[in-house]
Parts: sequence; C-alpha cells; structure tokens
Amino acid sequence: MIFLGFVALVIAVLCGAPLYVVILGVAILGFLASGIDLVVIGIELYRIADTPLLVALPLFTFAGYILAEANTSKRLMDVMRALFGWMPAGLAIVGFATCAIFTALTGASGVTIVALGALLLPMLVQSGYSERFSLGLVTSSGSLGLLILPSVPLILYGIVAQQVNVGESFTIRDLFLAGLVPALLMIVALSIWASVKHRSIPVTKFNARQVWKAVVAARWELPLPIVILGGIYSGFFAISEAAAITAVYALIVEVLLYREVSIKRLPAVIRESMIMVGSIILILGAALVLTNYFVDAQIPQKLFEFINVQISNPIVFLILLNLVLLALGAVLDIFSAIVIMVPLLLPVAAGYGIHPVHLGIIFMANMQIGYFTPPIGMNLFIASYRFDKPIVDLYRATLPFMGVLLIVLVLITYIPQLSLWYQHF
Amino acid sequence: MLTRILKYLRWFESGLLVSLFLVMLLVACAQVIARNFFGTGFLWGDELVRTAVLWTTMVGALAAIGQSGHIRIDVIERLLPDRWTPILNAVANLFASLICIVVAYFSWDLIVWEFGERGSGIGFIPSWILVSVIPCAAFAMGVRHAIQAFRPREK
Repeated sequence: MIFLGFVALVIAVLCGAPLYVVILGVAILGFLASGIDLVVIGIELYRIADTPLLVALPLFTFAGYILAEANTSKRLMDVMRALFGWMPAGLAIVGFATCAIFTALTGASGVTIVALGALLLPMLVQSGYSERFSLGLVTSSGSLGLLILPSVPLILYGIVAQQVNVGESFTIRDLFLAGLVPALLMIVALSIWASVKHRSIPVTKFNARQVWKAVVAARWELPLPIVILGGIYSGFFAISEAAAITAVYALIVEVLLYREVSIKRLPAVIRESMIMVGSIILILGAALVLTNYFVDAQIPQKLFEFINVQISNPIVFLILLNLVLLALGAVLDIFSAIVIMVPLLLPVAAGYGIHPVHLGIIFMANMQIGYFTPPIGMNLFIASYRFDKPIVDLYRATLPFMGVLLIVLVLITYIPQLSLWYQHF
Repeated sequence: MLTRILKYLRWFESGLLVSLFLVMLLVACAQVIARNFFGTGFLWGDELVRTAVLWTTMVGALAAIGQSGHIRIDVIERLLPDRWTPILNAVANLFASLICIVVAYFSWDLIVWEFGERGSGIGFIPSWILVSVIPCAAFAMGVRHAIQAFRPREK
C-alpha cells in the first residue's frame, strides 16, 4: 500500500505535479507508515498563522512587484551610472551593482533580467563590450542580490532555520549583517575581473550635473533603500515593520507621486504578488508538515550519523555540501530548496560545528550560482527567452562569471569570519 | 457554463486577496505607528495580521492553480513532444486533487474542535472561523485541480 503510494508519487513528480503536493504526499505516506493520525497536517499548516515574521514576505514581495511595474530600474541605473560610470569598465561595475540592488528588492525571480537586462545589454554593447561578455553579465547578475537586504529568500531561510532550532540563536538582522561582506566581495571580484578584461574601453568623465539630474529624477525612490537598510541594519526597525513601511512607501511613491502604476492596475498587481506569496508560503507550510515527520522519525540524526561515519573532516563535508547545493540550485527553485533542505541540513551542519548563519550565507551563495548553472539553471532560460539567443550561447557567456563567483564561494565557505564578523560588535 | 463560473471564481479570489492584503498592510502600519510613537502595540492586531497571512496563503494558492502558478519540476514536460502535455497535465492535476481532498478531509476536525471548545478568536470572530480556511480552501483546491486536469495549461 505504502509502496504503491510511493510509486504514484514518483509518477506525479515526473508529470509535473506542484511541489507542495509532492511534499505533502511524502509526509502523508510517512505518517501512514508510522501510524500517525493525519489530522496533524492541518495542525502543522495552522502554524503558518503562528509565525510573526512571515508577514514580511507578502509586504516585501508586493513592494518588489510595484517597483518592477514602474520605471524604478531605469532611474536606479541612471543614478549608478552617473556616480560610478567614470571608473575603468565603469558600465560593467554599474551593471553588477544595479542588478544586485534590484534583485535584493524584487527577489531573484527573473525580474532583474527582464527589466534591467533589456536596458543594460544594448548599452554595454554600444560602449564596446563584447556581446558574449554583456550577455554573461546580465544573465549571471540576475541573482546577485540574494545576500542583500531585503532579499526574501534569506528571510525565508531565517524563518525555516529558527523553526528547526539547533541551539545557536540568531535574528534575521544577523543574517543580513553576515551577508554584507560576502555580497560586496562578489561584486568587487566581478568588477576587478571586468576592469582587467576591458582595460581598453575608454573611460568617461565624471559629470556632477549628470549626478544631480539622476538624483533629482529618482528623488522619491532614493530614501527607500536608506530607510530599509539604515532602519534594519541599525536595529531601529524589526523586519516586519520595515516590510510594512517599504510596502506603503513604494505604493505611495509609484502610484501617487510618479503615477507610473495606475490605481486601476493595483488589484492585478496585488493579485499577482499574493499568488506568488501564496504558493511560496504553502510550500513552507507543507515543509513544516514534512519536518514534523522527519523529526518524529529522527531522520536528521540518522542522516548525520550516516554522513559522520563516512566523513569526519568538516572541510570535506563543506566541499560535499557545496557540490550538493550547486546541483540542487540548478534543479530546484530557491524557495523549495530552502524549505526542503534546510531542516535536513541544519542539524547535520551543526554537528560539524557550522554556525546556522554561516550555513545560510553558504546556502544562498550556492543557490545564486545555481541560478545560471547549465543545463537547466532558471536564469539561463529567462535570458534565452528575453534576448532571443540560443541557450548554448548563454552557457558559454556565463562560464567566466561562474568561475569568478566560484572562487568567492570557496572564500566564503572556508573563512567563516567573512560572515560571522558581526558577532564581534 | 464552466468558463462563466470560473470567471466569477476569479473575481471572488481577487476580491479576497485584495481585501486580505489591505488588512495586512493597514494593520501592520498601524502597529508600527502605535509602537514607535505611542510606545504600545495592540495584541489583536498582531493576531489579525498573522491570520491574514494564513488566509492569503490559502486563497493565493487556490488562485495559483487556475493560472498554473505553482512551482513544479517540469523537466520531463520540456523533453517530451507537445502532444504529451495534456496527459502529463491530467495525471499531475488528478494526483494533486487527491492530496488536497485528503488534506481537506483530515483537517475538518480542526473546525470541529475549535467549535466544540468555543475557542476565542480575534474580537468578535470565533476561532473556528479562523481555522476554517484550511479545510475549505484545501477542498476548493482539490476541485480546482480536478477541473484543471481537463483544461489546457495556460502559458
């Protein structure tokens, strides 16, 4: 009976059944096998209403949808270009920084490639960058902001990790403080590589008038990052408070001040963003149900004991962790990967003495690269569709970017202080 | 006929999602103002926001089914020729329907318990209404998946 159910489940997965159904299916089979009353499913799902932090997800996601709907990406890039465009390979650096900020605001759902890539790609090619480099830049930068506030995946990691609780307590703010240095390191490493590769491209002059013009155009949106970043990093706002302020602020600015999103359009934006949020939180709820079964069946402990027999060295474990996460990031979307893998990985990693915050940063860095890992990283498909290029071209274009980011990934993984520096303040 | 019903359902979902979102946004903002300027929060406000998140999740997930908005692994579908798509779609949705109905059936007891215990909810809303969204939405999702099994996938 259980075996038949399992076969049905595998067939459903292959046919493309929604992931929440698959996770619930596994949990139901597990409960049936160990004779637990299925009423536990409803009880666990109700825990969604028991997690105060979750409200940050709908509010930040809505803000991201509103910003993506308006011309925020263009204004953001104009400001960045006026500020940093004069540096060697300035436009490439502007591209990295702008994509990172926009991805942090909107989530790595491909919006960055669609909205910013279309602006950035022709600009890069016109300024003398090769088409291959330009394509690689816009494709690989579409997931660059995962470690920067208010990235929804990192918030979700925090929520899931706190549910698992391995003894080390931490806040969402700790996670974002920890992500600062690794995120900067990635942008700096990519920028150095780009400026060495494109030394020959003529630099433009710094123009104060241009800066003023760009800043004036973006005057209503510029306070937003300052309020969120300053408010959360300094500890003045809780995450959910900052989310509420961001949502209201974005709403007022884009609908009333810039008037780029009409009031008539709002219900559709709310509907679309809440559908996105609903499908993510439902997967989280389903994962809570499954975790309940895992804990009951002591699967994390068994997994740790099994791995610990094979691998006693934390360094070897970290190498393996990176390989597994890279593969996972290429196959699964980031939200499912977090809710399914974190409850399993966190206790195992804690057994090797890895801090949950450090694990979170490693997790995100891997997922970020997984987004454009051949053959099926999601951003490769989005870019291929958006720029009308064969996907094989994108494999080749993104490869050097992946190389640079892999080097940074190794640094982040083996130097925990890069993430855990905040503990000394 | 069915198309008409689905259209009304879509309006209903959208209306619910917009209302729930506005509740979340307004109450969460009121809390920020209350906490930072008057030094007090109100407890029922937090409860209301958290419950609205649960309701948004369930209604959003229901609405997602109609537009194939749920996250899934579609590698096989990409590899097989297009004429296979309706078969894959039917199998996946019928399985999903079954799971949703199982969840709805077994979480019905939540309502029964809360109703029997007269659990206190938020203000004048009794707690059995707050939890009712789980079995009700799960049931609606089961029905929606069953319908979707025999309709072409959008996008």
